[in-house]
Amino acid sequence: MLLKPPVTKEEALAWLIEQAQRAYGIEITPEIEARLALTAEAMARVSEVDLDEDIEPLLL
Amino acid sequence: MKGASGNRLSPGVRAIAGAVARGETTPEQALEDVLERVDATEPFIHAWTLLDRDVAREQARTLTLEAKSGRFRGPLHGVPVAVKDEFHIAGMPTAFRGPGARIEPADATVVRRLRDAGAIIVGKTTMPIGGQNPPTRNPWNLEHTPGGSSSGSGAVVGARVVPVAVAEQTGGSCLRPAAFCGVSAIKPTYGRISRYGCFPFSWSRDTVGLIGLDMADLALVLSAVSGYDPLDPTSLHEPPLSPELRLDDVRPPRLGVVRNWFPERSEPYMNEAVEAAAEKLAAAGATVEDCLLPEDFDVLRHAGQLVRAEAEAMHAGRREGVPSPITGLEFVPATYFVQARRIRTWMIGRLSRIFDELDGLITPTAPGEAPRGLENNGSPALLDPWTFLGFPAINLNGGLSPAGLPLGIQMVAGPGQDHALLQRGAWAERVLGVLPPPPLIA
Repeated sequence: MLLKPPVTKEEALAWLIEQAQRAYGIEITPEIEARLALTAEAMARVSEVDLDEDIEPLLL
Repeated sequence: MKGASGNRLSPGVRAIAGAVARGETTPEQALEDVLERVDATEPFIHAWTLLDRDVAREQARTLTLEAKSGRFRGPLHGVPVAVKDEFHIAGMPTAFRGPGARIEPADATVVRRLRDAGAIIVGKTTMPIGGQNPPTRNPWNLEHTPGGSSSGSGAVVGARVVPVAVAEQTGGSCLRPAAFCGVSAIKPTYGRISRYGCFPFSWSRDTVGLIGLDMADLALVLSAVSGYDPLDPTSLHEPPLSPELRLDDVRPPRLGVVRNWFPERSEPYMNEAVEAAAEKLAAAGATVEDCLLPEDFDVLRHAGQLVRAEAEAMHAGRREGVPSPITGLEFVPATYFVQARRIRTWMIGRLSRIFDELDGLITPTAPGEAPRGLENNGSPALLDPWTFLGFPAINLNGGLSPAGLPLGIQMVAGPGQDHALLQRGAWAERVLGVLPPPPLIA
């Protein structure tokens, strides 16, 4: 799933569900989907942000 | 839960250290006082994971002999200290590692520095293990959580068993239990205290903190444990902080009460407590003004969520089968992690500028009082952004909730401003006071 162009929460969630099913071979319960949705929302939100090239991923 | 008369409440760090230095008490007596308080409180608050009395007494005996011969290791000689279980203590297992955990061969740096300063390492305090909250209870109301994940550290200081405890915050785990248990705390700038020997949860977020009885005590202990550590490459390349707050030199602070994002995530009575505190501080001479954070402040919540992939990486080799819970972070492409780190850098720059004009930001520490029951150890939401950014923050007295439980006021400063933050915190403490011991203890 590419960072740009920005993804929607729905796109990210569908992708995460697919990854989880493939990796673990499990049924996606509502509880699991809710947790994946948090990560999907985070993916969507950060992918919206445009940053100047001089902004680096510094650790400190 | 009352202890023996005359020994219900631990004196502060400075009081104990001073009494030992003047020969008015000994490290052995200070420890026996702690153990008496442990006996009185532990059946109710369940705050200790491991407390080896023989090992602690051996330390105290050695420190007593040293003191009698005029040798004092440092500013904490004879002061009993509790340590959150995730920190390695030589000769003891780290319970968080699970059943059959190895005996740690060496102290965490923070533990070693406490010993070097003369402290007595009393034992290890509780934290959630295996996703399960400990049975630790809030000394203000045993039906409520003390908060987490530094549950035991908050409870033993809140119950006045020891004057100070080592804690750690990856989201909200140092200041939140301090707030819920009605005591003071500092979550310093990321890297201020070495993380070496601390079980890692999220390397770029884990921050060693302290829970104590007041800002001056915290400053003294922080002076003993801060400073560059070559064993922790992320520790700040700075010397230890000064233990002296020099309050006579501290002018009334310029404070910003945050009016967006935080109030809407807090209970009405918590917001009222913030207002009341702001009025007191202003009446005492502080400059108190409204502060609005950037409208996109909420992006930090999402960037911070993705950085929690560090925890996934940490545990990837340790778990068997399907992880629990499934977060999906293990699948997120690296580009998202990099973007999240870049957002952090971006927001550090933008938010640091707030502190060009203000000495501190005021927010609630938690949305409200400690939740009832032990299943939920409280929300880190109001602490998490500052932890992710690495900014220092302290917990101050916010009074009591309508149900009689402690409330905490968070004061945040710019990165690296730990000593100034403690100074402003001590100034605020003179105005707001500190909560008395819990009614169950006093």
